[in-house]
Amino acid sequence: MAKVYLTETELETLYEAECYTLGAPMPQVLLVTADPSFEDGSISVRTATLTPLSWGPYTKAVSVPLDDEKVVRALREPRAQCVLGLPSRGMLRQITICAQRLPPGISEADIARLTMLKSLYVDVPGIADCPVNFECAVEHLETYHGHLVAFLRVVGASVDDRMLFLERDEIVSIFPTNAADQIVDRGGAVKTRVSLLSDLFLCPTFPVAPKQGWYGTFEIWMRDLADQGYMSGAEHDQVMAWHGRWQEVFADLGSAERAELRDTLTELIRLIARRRWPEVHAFLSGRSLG
Amino acid sequence: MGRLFYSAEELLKRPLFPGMRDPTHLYYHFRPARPANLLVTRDPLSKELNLAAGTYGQLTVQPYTVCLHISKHSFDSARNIQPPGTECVVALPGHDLVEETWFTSLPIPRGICEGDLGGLTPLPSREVGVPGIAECPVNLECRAELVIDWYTHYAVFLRVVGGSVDEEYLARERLEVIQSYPTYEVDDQTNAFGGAIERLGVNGELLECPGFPVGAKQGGQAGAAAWVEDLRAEGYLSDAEAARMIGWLQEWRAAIEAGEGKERERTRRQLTRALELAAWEEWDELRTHLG
Repeated sequence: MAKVYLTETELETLYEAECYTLGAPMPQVLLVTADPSFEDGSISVRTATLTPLSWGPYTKAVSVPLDDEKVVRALREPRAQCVLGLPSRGMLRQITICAQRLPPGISEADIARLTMLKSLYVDVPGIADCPVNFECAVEHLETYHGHLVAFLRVVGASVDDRMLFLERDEIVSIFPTNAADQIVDRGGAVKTRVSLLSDLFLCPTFPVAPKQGWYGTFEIWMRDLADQGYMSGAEHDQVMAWHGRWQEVFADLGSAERAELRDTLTELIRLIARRRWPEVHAFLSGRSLG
Repeated sequence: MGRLFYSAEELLKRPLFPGMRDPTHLYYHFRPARPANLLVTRDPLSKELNLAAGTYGQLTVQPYTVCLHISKHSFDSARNIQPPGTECVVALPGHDLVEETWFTSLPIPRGICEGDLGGLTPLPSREVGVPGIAECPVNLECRAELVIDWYTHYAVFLRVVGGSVDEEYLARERLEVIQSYPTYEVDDQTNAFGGAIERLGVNGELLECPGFPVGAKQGGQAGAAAWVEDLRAEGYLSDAEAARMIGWLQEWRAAIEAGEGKERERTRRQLTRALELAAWEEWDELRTHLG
């Protein structure tokens, strides 16, 4: 496969030429904030993209250009709050409208004819048109390359009950939209394109992982394999002996034993990951520690 | 239409609604799918390579920067990515690499390279000292600029200092590209032992949002005055109608400066309604409103 290499400067040029091949369509949100400079808490709704941060507590980040004055002012307020509404495929016009830099005090919610929704955990309203709304507290701000990156803690959320029993493959074809690229039409106007997921693929599971999945350890994985009969007790002990010795010699970078153990463990785990059990047994019977 | 509200604490308990069999069904309504990446780092002690699956977000376009969120349970990545200045590669996997992506999530001993399990090939980088992955269509060569200790994770701000892409994708249509890569982390299904089975997805549809006259020709950043001028230039508004809208915009700016006033609310209503009618392309009503 021929590769085309690009420098940082060339990457910037590519973006100007609207080449989006080096990025991913990013999950979109409609960021709802209340402008503190208006007594009536003028509501702003801005199209933005989402960055995941942590799951427990549930936190996310949004990045806003510093010259987006009313949104930045709202996020910089002490104890600022906001709502992240997830737009759906039926909200394309609203996505365009909420990307417009309208003056402070002029609410994109009104222009986009959004129906606002009283939030339960924050003072800023959500958007009833959005299938899901995250009610958030601003916990941390970073100024970064002309943007304000707001770290948000989700304190509550709501979901449209029509979504409740839909299967995942239906859900991902409805929301959220992903900001895919911008094109210029024949009239010279910029148009945003959004994407939605379709095909889903299951990753392997046990025995190609611990029973519990993601957060298991090597020790748990090997124990699970022995418990379920994929390897004998003796084979398990052999693997754990190699593992123990590997940890002992890990820092001995120049040793021949370390190099051999690395090859041994790599091949063993490769065979397990490929579910080649006869070869796993043969491999284990053909080698011994030391 | 009704709405169900949950506190953050309730969400983390993975609530279920009567009739739901899959224990993750409701929870994943609240975890939108995120673009996946394979992070390539180098062990600071042994210099051996580590590959780990994760997800990321984009922070800025120019310069091109992204944010990784690395779990503190991902011991190798969490250690290898620090301190600021550390080099790494963010590779974007395609849907043909689902199994290989999973292999990079396996809990294997430090120093054993996940790429060797799936037969992934190191791809020399040009701007950083860490290789990419030849089988991935895109490799972003990055340098860490900021690492923030954030609860269970590290938020890592990366500056993309170079990159490579499979040549064939440069000529492909956008839809074809996003149907191929990157994959997204979508949800977890539940295996026979109550454990998680990761599920990935790819984009399948590309939809066009309306552009001008629903907003400024140059896009949202151009602002309201540019939008009105575009409407005038393209014949959606007469010179007089455009002048009235521009006048309202100026009055509104002045009213904000002056503070509260009876006129201020009237100007806001007029301007809001005019912009609303333009955004919904209701031209007859707009002309009546401006008249």
